[in-house]
Amino acid sequence: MSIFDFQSILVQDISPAYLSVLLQLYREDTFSGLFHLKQSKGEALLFLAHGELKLSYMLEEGRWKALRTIEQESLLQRIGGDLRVFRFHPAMLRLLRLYVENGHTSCANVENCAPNELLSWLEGAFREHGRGIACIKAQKQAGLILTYPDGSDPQDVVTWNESGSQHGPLALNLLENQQGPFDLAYFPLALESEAWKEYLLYVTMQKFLQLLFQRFHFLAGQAMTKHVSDQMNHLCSHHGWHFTFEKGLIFHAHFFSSMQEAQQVYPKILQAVENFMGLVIGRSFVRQTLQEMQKRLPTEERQAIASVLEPQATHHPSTEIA
Amino acid sequence: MSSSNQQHAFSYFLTSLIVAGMIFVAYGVIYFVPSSSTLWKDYATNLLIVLAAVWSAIAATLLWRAYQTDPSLRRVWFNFSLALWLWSLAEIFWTYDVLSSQEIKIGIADIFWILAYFLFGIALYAQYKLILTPPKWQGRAVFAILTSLTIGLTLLFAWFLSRQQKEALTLPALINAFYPIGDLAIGVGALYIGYLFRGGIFNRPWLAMFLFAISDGLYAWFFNIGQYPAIIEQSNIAQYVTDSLYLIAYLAVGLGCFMQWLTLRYGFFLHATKS
Repeated sequence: MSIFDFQSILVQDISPAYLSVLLQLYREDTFSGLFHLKQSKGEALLFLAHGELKLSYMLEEGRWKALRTIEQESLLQRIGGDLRVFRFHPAMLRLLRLYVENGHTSCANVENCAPNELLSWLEGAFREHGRGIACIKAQKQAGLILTYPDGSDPQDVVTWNESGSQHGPLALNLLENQQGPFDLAYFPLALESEAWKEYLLYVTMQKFLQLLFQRFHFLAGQAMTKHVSDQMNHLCSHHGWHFTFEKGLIFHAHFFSSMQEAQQVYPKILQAVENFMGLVIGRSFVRQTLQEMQKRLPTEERQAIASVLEPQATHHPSTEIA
Repeated sequence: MSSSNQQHAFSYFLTSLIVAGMIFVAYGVIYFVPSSSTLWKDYATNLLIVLAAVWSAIAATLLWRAYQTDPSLRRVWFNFSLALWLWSLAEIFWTYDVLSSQEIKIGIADIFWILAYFLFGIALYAQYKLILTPPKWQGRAVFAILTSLTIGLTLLFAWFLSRQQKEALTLPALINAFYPIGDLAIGVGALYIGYLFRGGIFNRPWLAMFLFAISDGLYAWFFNIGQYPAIIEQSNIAQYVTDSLYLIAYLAVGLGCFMQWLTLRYGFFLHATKS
Protein backbone atom coordinates (compact mmCIF):
# COMPACT_ATOMS: atom_id res chain seq x y z
CA MET A 1 0.00 0.00 0.00
CA SER A 2 1.41 3.35 -1.06
CA ILE A 3 1.39 6.38 1.21
CA PHE A 4 -0.80 7.98 -1.44
CA ASP A 5 -3.53 5.41 -0.96
CA PHE A 6 -4.94 7.32 2.01
CA GLN A 7 -7.51 9.03 -0.06
CA SER A 8 -10.44 7.68 -1.97
CA ILE A 9 -10.29 7.75 -5.74
CA LEU A 10 -11.81 10.90 -7.20
CA VAL A 11 -11.97 9.77 -10.81
CA GLN A 12 -11.51 6.27 -12.15
CA ASP A 13 -9.72 5.81 -15.46
CA ILE A 14 -9.37 9.51 -16.13
CA SER A 15 -8.95 10.81 -19.68
CA PRO A 16 -6.53 13.60 -20.70
CA ALA A 17 -9.48 15.88 -21.54
CA TYR A 18 -11.08 15.30 -18.16
CA LEU A 19 -7.78 15.99 -16.42
CA SER A 20 -7.41 19.21 -18.37
CA VAL A 21 -10.86 20.35 -17.20
CA LEU A 22 -10.01 19.39 -13.63
CA LEU A 23 -6.74 21.32 -13.78
CA GLN A 24 -8.64 24.34 -15.05
CA LEU A 25 -11.16 24.08 -12.20
CA TYR A 26 -8.45 23.72 -9.60
CA ARG A 27 -6.59 26.67 -11.11
CA GLU A 28 -9.65 28.83 -10.55
CA ASP A 29 -9.87 27.48 -7.02
CA THR A 30 -6.12 28.31 -6.48
CA PHE A 31 -5.77 24.75 -5.26
CA SER A 32 -2.54 23.53 -3.66
CA GLY A 33 -1.81 19.87 -3.29
CA LEU A 34 -1.06 16.68 -5.13
CA PHE A 35 -2.65 14.73 -7.96
CA HIS A 36 -1.73 11.08 -7.72
CA LEU A 37 -2.40 8.96 -10.80
CA LYS A 38 -2.14 5.21 -10.69
CA GLN A 39 -2.38 3.33 -13.92
CA SER A 40 -1.36 -0.09 -15.02
CA LYS A 41 1.87 1.23 -16.58
CA GLY A 42 2.92 3.13 -13.48
CA GLU A 43 2.29 6.07 -11.23
CA ALA A 44 2.47 9.82 -11.72
CA LEU A 45 2.48 12.69 -9.26
CA LEU A 46 1.51 16.27 -10.08
CA PHE A 47 2.38 19.10 -7.66
CA LEU A 48 0.00 22.04 -7.80
CA ALA A 49 0.53 25.26 -5.86
CA HIS A 50 -1.91 28.18 -5.88
CA GLY A 51 -3.70 26.63 -8.84
CA GLU A 52 -0.58 26.23 -10.99
CA LEU A 53 0.90 22.93 -12.04
CA LYS A 54 4.44 23.26 -10.72
CA LEU A 55 6.11 19.86 -10.90
CA SER A 56 5.38 16.39 -12.18
CA TYR A 57 7.00 13.03 -11.50
CA MET A 58 6.79 9.53 -12.95
CA LEU A 59 7.60 6.45 -10.99
CA GLU A 60 10.46 4.63 -12.69
CA GLU A 61 12.29 1.66 -11.22
CA GLY A 62 11.04 2.34 -7.73
CA ARG A 63 12.02 6.03 -7.70
CA TRP A 64 10.24 9.19 -8.66
CA LYS A 65 11.71 10.88 -11.68
CA ALA A 66 11.09 14.59 -12.18
CA LEU A 67 9.71 15.38 -15.63
CA ARG A 68 10.88 18.23 -17.81
CA THR A 69 8.29 20.52 -19.40
CA ILE A 70 8.22 18.57 -22.64
CA GLU A 71 7.87 15.24 -20.80
CA GLN A 72 5.15 16.74 -18.67
CA GLU A 73 3.22 17.84 -21.77
CA SER A 74 3.47 14.36 -23.20
CA LEU A 75 2.35 12.83 -19.89
CA LEU A 76 -0.72 15.07 -19.75
CA GLN A 77 -1.69 14.08 -23.29
CA ARG A 78 -1.62 10.35 -22.63
CA ILE A 79 -2.66 10.28 -19.00
CA GLY A 80 -4.98 7.63 -17.63
CA GLY A 81 -5.64 5.61 -14.49
CA ASP A 82 -7.22 6.38 -11.15
CA LEU A 83 -6.87 9.89 -9.80
CA ARG A 84 -6.54 10.72 -6.15
CA VAL A 85 -6.40 14.36 -5.07
CA PHE A 86 -4.73 15.54 -1.87
CA ARG A 87 -5.18 19.07 -0.60
CA PHE A 88 -1.98 20.31 1.05
CA HIS A 89 -0.92 23.76 2.15
CA PRO A 90 1.98 24.89 -0.11
CA ALA A 91 4.29 24.84 2.93
CA MET A 92 3.62 21.08 3.22
CA LEU A 93 4.40 20.49 -0.42
CA ARG A 94 8.08 21.25 0.17
CA LEU A 95 8.50 18.29 2.51
CA LEU A 96 6.56 16.09 0.11
CA ARG A 97 8.80 17.19 -2.71
CA LEU A 98 11.83 16.48 -0.56
CA TYR A 99 10.49 13.00 0.12
CA VAL A 100 9.64 12.33 -3.50
CA GLU A 101 13.09 13.39 -4.66
CA ASN A 102 14.89 11.58 -1.85
CA GLY A 103 12.80 8.57 -1.13
CA HIS A 104 10.79 5.80 -2.57
CA THR A 105 7.17 5.15 -3.23
CA SER A 106 6.08 3.49 -0.07
CA CYS A 107 7.27 2.57 3.38
CA ALA A 108 5.43 -0.65 3.80
CA ASN A 109 6.93 -3.28 6.07
CA VAL A 110 10.37 -1.74 6.26
CA GLU A 111 10.34 -1.42 10.04
CA ASN A 112 7.63 -0.97 12.57
CA CYS A 113 6.99 0.44 16.02
CA ALA A 114 4.20 1.51 18.34
CA PRO A 115 3.05 5.16 18.05
CA ASN A 116 4.46 6.07 21.47
CA GLU A 117 7.86 4.76 20.39
CA LEU A 118 7.95 6.92 17.27
CA LEU A 119 10.37 9.56 18.57
CA SER A 120 12.82 7.07 20.02
CA TRP A 121 12.71 5.10 16.76
CA LEU A 122 13.41 8.36 14.93
CA GLU A 123 16.41 9.05 17.18
CA GLY A 124 17.77 5.60 16.49
CA ALA A 125 17.31 6.01 12.74
CA PHE A 126 19.06 9.38 12.89
CA ARG A 127 22.00 7.91 14.82
CA GLU A 128 22.34 5.12 12.30
CA HIS A 129 21.77 6.96 9.01
CA GLY A 130 22.26 10.65 9.72
CA ARG A 131 19.78 13.33 8.79
CA GLY A 132 16.81 12.15 6.80
CA ILE A 133 13.10 11.81 6.23
CA ALA A 134 10.98 9.25 7.98
CA CYS A 135 8.00 7.91 6.14
CA ILE A 136 5.21 6.72 8.41
CA LYS A 137 2.17 4.66 7.63
CA ALA A 138 -0.50 3.77 10.12
CA GLN A 139 -3.80 2.09 9.51
CA LYS A 140 -5.63 5.32 8.68
CA GLN A 141 -2.88 7.89 8.46
CA ALA A 142 0.34 8.58 6.58
CA GLY A 143 3.04 11.07 7.39
CA LEU A 144 6.52 12.39 6.77
CA ILE A 145 9.00 13.64 9.35
CA LEU A 146 12.21 15.54 8.66
CA THR A 147 14.80 15.40 11.45
CA TYR A 148 16.80 18.38 12.73
CA PRO A 149 20.53 18.54 11.93
CA ASP A 150 21.29 17.36 15.48
CA GLY A 151 18.56 14.73 15.38
CA SER A 152 17.01 16.18 18.53
CA ASP A 153 13.44 16.68 17.36
CA PRO A 154 11.39 16.56 14.19
CA GLN A 155 11.98 19.74 12.21
CA ASP A 156 9.03 19.39 9.91
CA VAL A 157 6.05 17.04 10.04
CA VAL A 158 3.28 16.50 7.54
CA THR A 159 0.50 13.99 7.97
CA TRP A 160 -2.62 13.20 6.03
CA ASN A 161 -5.58 10.90 5.87
CA GLU A 162 -8.80 10.72 3.94
CA SER A 163 -10.31 13.74 5.63
CA GLY A 164 -7.40 16.15 5.24
CA SER A 165 -3.83 17.08 6.09
CA GLN A 166 -1.95 18.56 9.03
CA HIS A 167 1.38 20.32 9.40
CA GLY A 168 3.80 20.96 12.27
CA PRO A 169 3.47 19.98 15.94
CA LEU A 170 -0.23 19.21 15.52
CA ALA A 171 0.64 16.66 12.84
CA LEU A 172 3.15 14.96 15.13
CA ASN A 173 0.56 14.85 17.88
CA LEU A 174 -1.90 13.28 15.50
CA LEU A 175 0.63 10.61 14.52
CA GLU A 176 1.52 9.81 18.12
CA ASN A 177 -2.14 9.26 18.92
CA GLN A 178 -2.67 6.64 16.25
CA GLN A 179 -3.96 3.17 17.00
CA GLY A 180 -1.93 0.13 16.08
CA PRO A 181 1.70 -0.19 14.91
CA PHE A 182 3.41 1.99 12.30
CA ASP A 183 5.13 0.87 9.16
CA LEU A 184 8.23 2.99 8.89
CA ALA A 185 11.03 3.76 6.51
CA TYR A 186 13.90 6.18 6.86
CA PHE A 187 15.62 7.86 3.92
CA PRO A 188 18.87 9.72 4.51
CA LEU A 189 18.83 13.16 2.89
CA ALA A 190 20.62 13.64 -0.39
CA LEU A 191 22.27 16.89 0.60
CA GLU A 192 23.26 17.64 -2.98
CA SER A 193 19.73 17.41 -4.32
CA GLU A 194 18.08 20.59 -5.59
CA ALA A 195 14.98 19.83 -3.52
CA TRP A 196 17.03 19.86 -0.34
CA LYS A 197 18.90 23.03 -1.28
CA GLU A 198 15.61 24.77 -2.00
CA TYR A 199 14.11 23.46 1.23
CA LEU A 200 17.09 24.64 3.25
CA LEU A 201 16.96 28.05 1.61
CA TYR A 202 13.26 28.28 2.40
CA VAL A 203 13.84 27.43 6.07
CA THR A 204 16.72 29.88 6.28
CA MET A 205 14.88 32.70 4.52
CA GLN A 206 11.88 32.26 6.77
CA LYS A 207 14.11 32.35 9.84
CA PHE A 208 16.22 35.21 8.50
CA LEU A 209 13.25 37.42 7.63
CA GLN A 210 11.67 36.63 10.98
CA LEU A 211 14.83 37.67 12.82
CA LEU A 212 15.15 40.81 10.73
CA PHE A 213 11.57 41.84 11.44
CA GLN A 214 12.00 41.10 15.13
CA ARG A 215 15.06 43.33 15.23
CA PHE A 216 13.27 46.04 13.27
CA HIS A 217 10.26 45.82 15.57
CA PHE A 218 12.53 46.22 18.55
CA LEU A 219 14.21 49.27 16.99
CA ALA A 220 11.36 51.00 15.24
CA GLY A 221 8.24 49.84 17.05
CA GLN A 222 4.96 48.24 16.13
CA ALA A 223 3.53 50.94 13.86
CA MET A 224 6.65 51.15 11.65
CA THR A 225 6.80 47.34 11.46
CA LYS A 226 3.20 47.35 10.31
CA HIS A 227 3.97 49.95 7.61
CA VAL A 228 6.92 47.91 6.32
CA SER A 229 4.74 44.76 6.41
CA ASP A 230 1.96 46.53 4.49
CA GLN A 231 4.41 47.67 1.83
CA MET A 232 5.85 44.16 1.55
CA ASN A 233 2.40 42.60 1.27
CA HIS A 234 1.52 45.07 -1.46
CA LEU A 235 4.73 44.33 -3.33
CA CYS A 236 4.44 40.53 -2.96
CA SER A 237 0.83 40.56 -4.07
CA HIS A 238 1.78 42.66 -7.11
CA HIS A 239 4.48 40.17 -8.12
CA GLY A 240 2.39 37.10 -7.29
CA TRP A 241 4.72 36.00 -4.49
CA HIS A 242 2.83 34.15 -1.77
CA PHE A 243 4.40 35.77 1.25
CA THR A 244 2.40 37.39 4.02
CA PHE A 245 3.96 39.81 6.47
CA GLU A 246 1.90 40.40 9.57
CA LYS A 247 2.83 41.89 12.93
CA GLY A 248 6.46 40.96 12.42
CA LEU A 249 5.60 37.38 11.45
CA ILE A 250 6.29 36.00 8.01
CA PHE A 251 4.11 33.37 6.39
CA HIS A 252 5.95 31.95 3.42
CA ALA A 253 3.50 30.00 1.28
CA HIS A 254 5.26 30.35 -2.05
CA PHE A 255 6.17 27.08 -3.69
CA PHE A 256 9.20 27.34 -5.92
CA SER A 257 9.44 24.74 -8.61
CA SER A 258 13.19 25.17 -8.91
CA MET A 259 16.16 26.48 -6.99
CA GLN A 260 16.76 28.95 -9.80
CA GLU A 261 13.31 30.48 -9.30
CA ALA A 262 13.89 30.72 -5.56
CA GLN A 263 17.26 32.38 -6.13
CA GLN A 264 15.60 34.96 -8.35
CA VAL A 265 12.79 35.85 -5.96
CA TYR A 266 14.51 35.78 -2.55
CA PRO A 267 17.07 38.52 -3.33
CA LYS A 268 14.25 40.75 -4.59
CA ILE A 269 12.33 40.19 -1.38
CA LEU A 270 15.38 40.93 0.74
CA GLN A 271 16.13 43.98 -1.37
CA ALA A 272 12.60 45.29 -0.88
CA VAL A 273 12.71 44.66 2.87
CA GLU A 274 16.05 46.47 2.99
CA ASN A 275 14.60 49.40 1.05
CA PHE A 276 11.49 49.78 3.19
CA MET A 277 13.28 49.31 6.50
CA GLY A 278 16.00 51.59 5.18
CA LEU A 279 13.49 54.41 4.88
CA VAL A 280 13.15 54.27 8.65
CA ILE A 281 16.48 53.21 10.11
CA GLY A 282 18.77 53.75 7.13
CA ARG A 283 19.83 51.21 4.54
CA SER A 284 23.37 50.89 5.80
CA PHE A 285 22.08 50.00 9.25
CA VAL A 286 19.76 47.37 7.77
CA ARG A 287 22.62 45.97 5.72
CA GLN A 288 24.86 45.86 8.76
CA THR A 289 22.10 44.07 10.69
CA LEU A 290 21.73 41.56 7.85
CA GLN A 291 25.45 40.84 7.90
CA GLU A 292 25.48 40.41 11.67
CA MET A 293 22.50 38.08 11.53
CA GLN A 294 24.11 36.06 8.77
CA LYS A 295 27.22 35.55 10.90
CA ARG A 296 25.10 34.18 13.75
CA LEU A 297 23.42 31.51 11.61
CA PRO A 298 24.59 27.86 11.70
CA THR A 299 27.12 27.11 8.94
CA GLU A 300 24.65 25.24 6.73
CA GLU A 301 22.11 28.08 6.80
CA ARG A 302 24.80 30.76 6.51
CA GLN A 303 25.99 29.19 3.28
CA ALA A 304 22.45 28.86 1.99
CA ILE A 305 21.57 32.51 2.61
CA ALA A 306 24.87 33.73 1.16
CA SER A 307 23.65 32.78 -2.30
CA VAL A 308 20.73 35.18 -2.04
CA LEU A 309 22.43 37.91 -0.03
CA GLU A 310 25.30 38.40 -2.42
CA PRO A 311 23.21 39.40 -5.43
CA GLN A 312 21.86 42.24 -3.28
CA ALA A 313 24.78 44.33 -4.33
CA THR A 314 23.25 44.36 -7.78
CA HIS A 315 20.34 46.50 -8.82
CA HIS A 316 16.77 45.23 -8.67
CA PRO A 317 14.60 47.86 -10.26
CA SER A 318 11.36 45.96 -9.70
CA THR A 319 11.51 46.54 -5.96
CA GLU A 320 13.22 49.87 -5.95
CA ILE A 321 11.63 52.64 -3.94
CA ALA A 322 10.76 55.61 -6.07
CA MET B 1 -2.03 52.67 3.32
CA SER B 2 -4.49 54.46 1.08
CA SER B 3 -3.26 57.16 -1.26
CA SER B 4 -5.62 59.71 0.31
CA ASN B 5 -3.82 59.18 3.63
CA GLN B 6 -0.53 59.58 1.78
CA GLN B 7 -1.75 62.85 0.31
CA HIS B 8 -2.88 64.10 3.71
CA ALA B 9 0.45 63.29 5.28
CA PHE B 10 2.30 64.90 2.43
CA SER B 11 0.24 68.08 2.62
CA TYR B 12 0.80 68.28 6.40
CA PHE B 13 4.50 67.85 5.90
CA LEU B 14 4.61 70.41 3.11
CA THR B 15 2.68 72.89 5.25
CA SER B 16 5.05 72.43 8.16
CA LEU B 17 8.00 72.86 5.82
CA ILE B 18 6.53 76.10 4.41
CA VAL B 19 5.73 77.45 7.88
CA ALA B 20 9.24 76.63 9.07
CA GLY B 21 10.65 78.38 6.00
CA MET B 22 8.46 81.41 6.66
CA ILE B 23 9.63 81.59 10.28
CA PHE B 24 13.23 81.47 9.13
CA VAL B 25 12.71 84.17 6.48
CA ALA B 26 10.75 86.35 8.91
CA TYR B 27 13.61 86.04 11.39
CA GLY B 28 16.11 87.33 8.82
CA VAL B 29 13.80 90.13 7.67
CA ILE B 30 13.18 91.33 11.21
CA TYR B 31 16.88 91.14 11.91
CA PHE B 32 18.05 93.20 8.98
CA VAL B 33 15.21 95.58 8.10
CA PRO B 34 16.19 99.04 9.41
CA SER B 35 13.85 100.49 12.00
CA SER B 36 13.88 103.46 14.40
CA SER B 37 12.94 101.27 17.38
CA THR B 38 14.79 98.00 17.94
CA LEU B 39 12.87 96.85 21.01
CA TRP B 40 10.11 95.26 18.91
CA LYS B 41 12.82 93.52 16.88
CA ASP B 42 14.20 91.93 20.04
CA TYR B 43 10.74 90.83 21.07
CA ALA B 44 9.88 89.52 17.62
CA THR B 45 13.10 87.54 17.07
CA ASN B 46 12.96 86.05 20.56
CA LEU B 47 9.30 85.23 20.06
CA LEU B 48 10.15 83.36 16.87
CA ILE B 49 12.77 81.35 18.77
CA VAL B 50 10.20 80.55 21.48
CA LEU B 51 7.71 79.59 18.77
CA ALA B 52 10.23 77.26 17.13
CA ALA B 53 11.14 75.72 20.51
CA VAL B 54 7.48 75.08 21.38
CA TRP B 55 6.88 73.63 17.88
CA SER B 56 9.75 71.19 18.30
CA ALA B 57 8.47 70.20 21.76
CA ILE B 58 4.96 69.61 20.38
CA ALA B 59 6.30 67.50 17.51
CA ALA B 60 8.43 65.41 19.90
CA THR B 61 5.44 64.98 22.23
CA LEU B 62 3.32 63.74 19.34
CA LEU B 63 6.03 61.22 18.60
CA TRP B 64 6.23 60.09 22.22
CA ARG B 65 2.47 59.60 22.32
CA ALA B 66 2.52 57.69 19.04
CA TYR B 67 4.80 54.98 20.49
CA GLN B 68 2.08 53.74 22.81
CA THR B 69 2.86 50.06 22.44
CA ASP B 70 6.65 50.34 22.47
CA PRO B 71 7.99 51.09 25.97
CA SER B 72 11.64 51.33 24.87
CA LEU B 73 10.88 53.91 22.19
CA ARG B 74 8.52 55.73 24.54
CA ARG B 75 11.41 56.14 26.96
CA VAL B 76 13.53 57.73 24.23
CA TRP B 77 10.88 60.19 23.10
CA PHE B 78 9.46 60.93 26.53
CA ASN B 79 12.84 62.21 27.72
CA PHE B 80 13.48 63.93 24.41
CA SER B 81 10.16 65.79 24.40
CA LEU B 82 10.39 66.68 28.09
CA ALA B 83 13.84 68.12 27.46
CA LEU B 84 12.46 70.21 24.60
CA TRP B 85 9.64 71.49 26.81
CA LEU B 86 12.24 72.50 29.39
CA TRP B 87 14.19 74.31 26.68
CA SER B 88 11.00 76.05 25.58
CA LEU B 89 10.47 77.26 29.15
CA ALA B 90 14.11 78.28 29.28
CA GLU B 91 13.67 80.32 26.08
CA ILE B 92 10.68 82.14 27.58
CA PHE B 93 12.54 82.95 30.80
CA TRP B 94 15.67 83.92 28.92
CA THR B 95 13.72 86.26 26.64
CA TYR B 96 12.10 87.89 29.64
CA ASP B 97 15.42 88.21 31.53
CA VAL B 98 17.41 89.58 28.62
CA LEU B 99 14.82 92.03 27.42
CA SER B 100 14.10 93.37 30.89
CA SER B 101 17.73 93.74 31.97
CA GLN B 102 19.33 94.24 28.49
CA GLU B 103 22.18 91.92 29.48
CA ILE B 104 22.96 88.21 29.48
CA LYS B 105 23.24 86.78 32.98
CA ILE B 106 22.75 83.47 34.75
CA GLY B 107 19.11 83.06 35.75
CA ILE B 108 16.17 80.73 36.13
CA ALA B 109 16.37 79.79 32.42
CA ASP B 110 19.68 78.04 33.09
CA ILE B 111 18.03 75.62 35.51
CA PHE B 112 15.69 74.45 32.73
CA TRP B 113 18.49 74.34 30.16
CA ILE B 114 20.78 72.27 32.36
CA LEU B 115 18.04 69.88 33.45
CA ALA B 116 17.17 69.35 29.79
CA TYR B 117 20.74 68.24 29.02
CA PHE B 118 20.36 65.37 31.46
CA LEU B 119 17.07 64.37 29.88
CA PHE B 120 18.66 64.48 26.41
CA GLY B 121 21.42 62.31 27.86
CA ILE B 122 18.85 59.77 29.07
CA ALA B 123 17.09 59.84 25.67
CA LEU B 124 20.41 59.25 23.92
CA TYR B 125 21.28 56.43 26.30
CA ALA B 126 17.87 54.80 25.73
CA GLN B 127 18.37 55.06 21.95
CA TYR B 128 21.91 53.71 22.20
CA LYS B 129 20.63 50.72 24.20
CA LEU B 130 18.01 50.03 21.54
CA ILE B 131 20.52 50.10 18.71
CA LEU B 132 23.51 48.32 20.17
CA THR B 133 21.70 46.18 22.81
CA PRO B 134 24.72 46.10 25.14
CA PRO B 135 24.69 43.92 28.28
CA LYS B 136 23.15 45.80 31.23
CA TRP B 137 26.49 46.39 32.99
CA GLN B 138 28.12 47.65 29.80
CA GLY B 139 25.33 50.11 29.04
CA ARG B 140 25.41 51.46 32.56
CA ALA B 141 29.18 51.67 32.54
CA VAL B 142 29.14 53.68 29.27
CA PHE B 143 26.49 56.01 30.72
CA ALA B 144 28.42 56.47 33.97
CA ILE B 145 31.73 57.07 32.17
CA LEU B 146 30.26 59.64 29.75
CA THR B 147 28.40 61.47 32.52
CA SER B 148 31.52 61.57 34.69
CA LEU B 149 33.57 62.70 31.71
CA THR B 150 31.12 65.53 30.98
CA ILE B 151 31.13 66.67 34.62
CA GLY B 152 34.91 66.32 34.85
CA LEU B 153 35.54 68.29 31.66
CA THR B 154 33.08 70.97 32.78
CA LEU B 155 34.99 71.40 36.06
CA LEU B 156 38.29 71.49 34.22
CA PHE B 157 37.03 74.00 31.66
CA ALA B 158 35.47 76.21 34.36
CA TRP B 159 38.74 76.15 36.29
CA PHE B 160 40.65 77.04 33.11
CA LEU B 161 38.30 79.96 32.31
CA SER B 162 38.49 81.27 35.88
CA ARG B 163 42.28 81.16 35.83
CA GLN B 164 42.34 82.97 32.50
CA GLN B 165 40.08 85.71 33.81
CA LYS B 166 41.93 85.69 37.17
CA GLU B 167 38.70 85.14 39.08
CA ALA B 168 37.52 82.62 41.64
CA LEU B 169 35.58 79.58 40.44
CA THR B 170 31.93 80.65 40.74
CA LEU B 171 28.60 78.99 39.92
CA PRO B 172 28.04 81.21 36.84
CA ALA B 173 31.50 80.22 35.61
CA LEU B 174 30.63 76.56 36.10
CA ILE B 175 27.32 76.98 34.26
CA ASN B 176 28.98 78.82 31.39
CA ALA B 177 31.59 76.08 31.16
CA PHE B 178 28.93 73.37 31.21
CA TYR B 179 27.15 74.52 28.05
CA PRO B 180 29.89 73.88 25.47
CA ILE B 181 30.86 70.60 27.15
CA GLY B 182 27.23 69.49 27.48
CA ASP B 183 26.61 70.48 23.88
CA LEU B 184 29.64 68.56 22.78
CA ALA B 185 28.54 65.43 24.67
CA ILE B 186 24.95 65.56 23.40
CA GLY B 187 26.08 66.68 19.93
CA VAL B 188 28.59 63.86 19.49
CA GLY B 189 26.09 61.30 20.83
CA ALA B 190 23.35 62.61 18.54
CA LEU B 191 25.72 62.67 15.58
CA TYR B 192 26.69 59.06 16.27
CA ILE B 193 23.04 57.96 16.41
CA GLY B 194 22.34 60.02 13.28
CA TYR B 195 25.27 58.34 11.57
CA LEU B 196 24.01 54.85 12.48
CA PHE B 197 20.56 55.67 11.10
CA ARG B 198 21.90 57.49 8.06
CA GLY B 199 19.44 57.62 5.20
CA GLY B 200 16.41 56.84 7.36
CA ILE B 201 13.83 59.13 8.91
CA PHE B 202 15.03 58.08 12.38
CA ASN B 203 18.22 60.08 11.96
CA ARG B 204 16.57 63.47 11.33
CA PRO B 205 15.87 64.61 14.92
CA TRP B 206 19.31 63.43 16.03
CA LEU B 207 21.16 65.18 13.23
CA ALA B 208 19.16 68.32 13.99
CA MET B 209 20.30 68.04 17.62
CA PHE B 210 23.85 68.33 16.39
CA LEU B 211 23.00 71.77 14.98
CA PHE B 212 22.48 72.93 18.57
CA ALA B 213 26.02 71.87 19.37
CA ILE B 214 27.35 73.99 16.49
CA SER B 215 25.15 76.98 17.29
CA ASP B 216 25.84 76.83 21.05
CA GLY B 217 29.53 76.35 20.38
CA LEU B 218 29.52 79.50 18.24
CA TYR B 219 27.56 81.32 20.94
CA ALA B 220 30.04 80.32 23.66
CA TRP B 221 32.92 81.41 21.48
CA PHE B 222 31.45 84.79 20.42
CA PHE B 223 30.25 85.44 23.97
CA ASN B 224 33.71 84.83 25.41
CA ILE B 225 35.42 87.11 22.90
CA GLY B 226 32.78 89.79 23.52
CA GLN B 227 31.19 89.53 20.10
CA TYR B 228 27.72 88.41 21.23
CA PRO B 229 25.55 91.35 22.34
CA ALA B 230 22.32 90.86 24.27
CA ILE B 231 20.16 93.05 22.04
CA ILE B 232 19.79 93.55 18.30
CA GLU B 233 20.68 97.25 18.50
CA GLN B 234 24.32 96.19 18.96
CA SER B 235 24.00 93.20 16.70
CA ASN B 236 26.56 91.91 14.25
CA ILE B 237 26.75 89.15 11.66
CA ALA B 238 28.25 86.72 14.21
CA GLN B 239 25.16 87.07 16.37
CA TYR B 240 22.86 86.60 13.36
CA VAL B 241 24.65 83.44 12.21
CA THR B 242 24.62 81.98 15.72
CA ASP B 243 20.98 82.84 16.38
CA SER B 244 19.64 81.81 13.01
CA LEU B 245 21.46 78.48 13.28
CA TYR B 246 19.86 78.09 16.69
CA LEU B 247 16.45 78.79 15.16
CA ILE B 248 17.14 76.34 12.33
CA ALA B 249 18.10 73.69 14.90
CA TYR B 250 14.73 73.99 16.65
CA LEU B 251 12.85 73.99 13.35
CA ALA B 252 14.82 71.00 12.10
CA VAL B 253 14.25 69.00 15.31
CA GLY B 254 10.54 69.81 15.01
CA LEU B 255 10.41 68.82 11.34
CA GLY B 256 12.39 65.63 12.00
CA CYS B 257 10.03 64.57 14.78
CA PHE B 258 6.95 65.63 12.82
CA MET B 259 8.05 63.67 9.75
CA GLN B 260 8.58 60.58 11.89
CA TRP B 261 5.17 61.06 13.49
CA LEU B 262 3.47 61.47 10.11
CA THR B 263 5.12 58.27 8.91
CA LEU B 264 3.99 56.43 12.03
CA ARG B 265 0.47 57.67 11.56
CA TYR B 266 0.08 57.49 7.79
CA GLY B 267 2.85 55.23 6.52
CA PHE B 268 5.55 56.07 3.98
CA PHE B 269 4.09 59.23 2.50
CA LEU B 270 7.25 60.46 0.79
CA HIS B 271 7.92 57.17 -1.01
CA ALA B 272 5.93 54.82 -3.15
CA THR B 273 6.63 51.38 -4.56
CA LYS B 274 7.47 51.34 -8.23
CA SER B 275 5.46 48.55 -9.79
